[in-house]
Amino acid sequence: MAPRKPRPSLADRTPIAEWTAAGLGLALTLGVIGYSLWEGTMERDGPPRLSVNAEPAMKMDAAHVVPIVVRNASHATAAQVEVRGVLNAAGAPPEERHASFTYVPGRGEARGGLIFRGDPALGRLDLSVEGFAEP
Amino acid sequence: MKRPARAATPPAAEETYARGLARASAGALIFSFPLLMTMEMWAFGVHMDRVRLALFLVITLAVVFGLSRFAGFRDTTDLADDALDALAAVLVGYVISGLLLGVLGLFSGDTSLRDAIGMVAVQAAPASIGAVLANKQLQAGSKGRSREDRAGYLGQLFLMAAGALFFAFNVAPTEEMILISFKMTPWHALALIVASLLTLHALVFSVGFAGQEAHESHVRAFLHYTLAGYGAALSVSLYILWTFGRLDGGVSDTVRAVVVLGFPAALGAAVARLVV
Repeated sequence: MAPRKPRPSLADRTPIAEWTAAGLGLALTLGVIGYSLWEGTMERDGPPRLSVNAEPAMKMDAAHVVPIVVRNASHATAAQVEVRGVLNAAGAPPEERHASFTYVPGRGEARGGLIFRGDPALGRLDLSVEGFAEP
Repeated sequence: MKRPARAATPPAAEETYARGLARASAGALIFSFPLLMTMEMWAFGVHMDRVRLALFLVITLAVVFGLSRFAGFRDTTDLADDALDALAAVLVGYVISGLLLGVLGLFSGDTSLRDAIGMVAVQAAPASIGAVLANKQLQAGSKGRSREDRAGYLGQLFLMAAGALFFAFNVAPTEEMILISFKMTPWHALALIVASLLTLHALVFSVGFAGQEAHESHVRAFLHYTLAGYGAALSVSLYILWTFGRLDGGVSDTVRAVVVLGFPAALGAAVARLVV
């Protein structure tokens, strides 16, 4: 690796592979540093801002599965997020179901599902986020 | 594994080969038992995305082959020989993982074949790496110049990436990885980046990578080994997180998780030189 001849210039004795690897490493390192700095200097936007939405129900054997998506609009991650869903169908007692999510990452989402006996398409489904813990 | 004469295989050669296999098994055990005893790993074997698992197995095979080629001290340059060694190491990895998972009672009567295969496959990676390293490293009577001295820059970069892969893989499956990244603020992340770079650079210098005497300046070693190595560590972290399906959060969480996993990966990249 070290030739004992008169020294060529740095550019001449360094293979392209080394410059490429160094360049990529520099780009990635500056990327993570830059992103962290940008995020760190941005205004923090308080506690997690959680919202929950239902997707069209799917029939599974004798039950109906309602896929739910919990979104977090804040940068702060929420842990142990509790979601409650109440299905009010005509002519039947209301059904209440719960789901809990270990994490809903900041600016991210988590997916799960609620399982009802009645058909959610025939009734009104109320979803709410009941609470969370800080991770 | 040492395979002396090509024409005849006298009993002594068979015995040497058997000893090589035993050594590889020991290496596989030592390198893989922490993960074999990690709960999340069993679960990953069951629910991991199968395409990602398949890709991971292919990459493992390539890494084991590369280690067989660049690591160790045996003076052969035979490509076929290295390929045979790599395949034997992978076999040992699978067998050891399967046996140990069985002994630990993790296969019950109702474990489906698909789940069992997944559980063994995901564990086979560290075991195979252990097998190939043990076999190369502990070979009795090995002498001569370390092959990695001749590996060239790309070979050394590969060794760093392999070290990063092994270290990152060892901690990536645990719940703690994501929990840590959730608890960190961006400022913690910045501190960890600096710590990773400093550690990597200190180890690059004190351990002395092959051909380092050519690096007359800190600046150059920093560019070509530390920065390149950290780049490799970050890329490997990203890949491992993707393999385990841990990139579902937003950009912030991804960056932070990559930085968190990049720390053990950087240590692995630095220590690669010691281990191989």
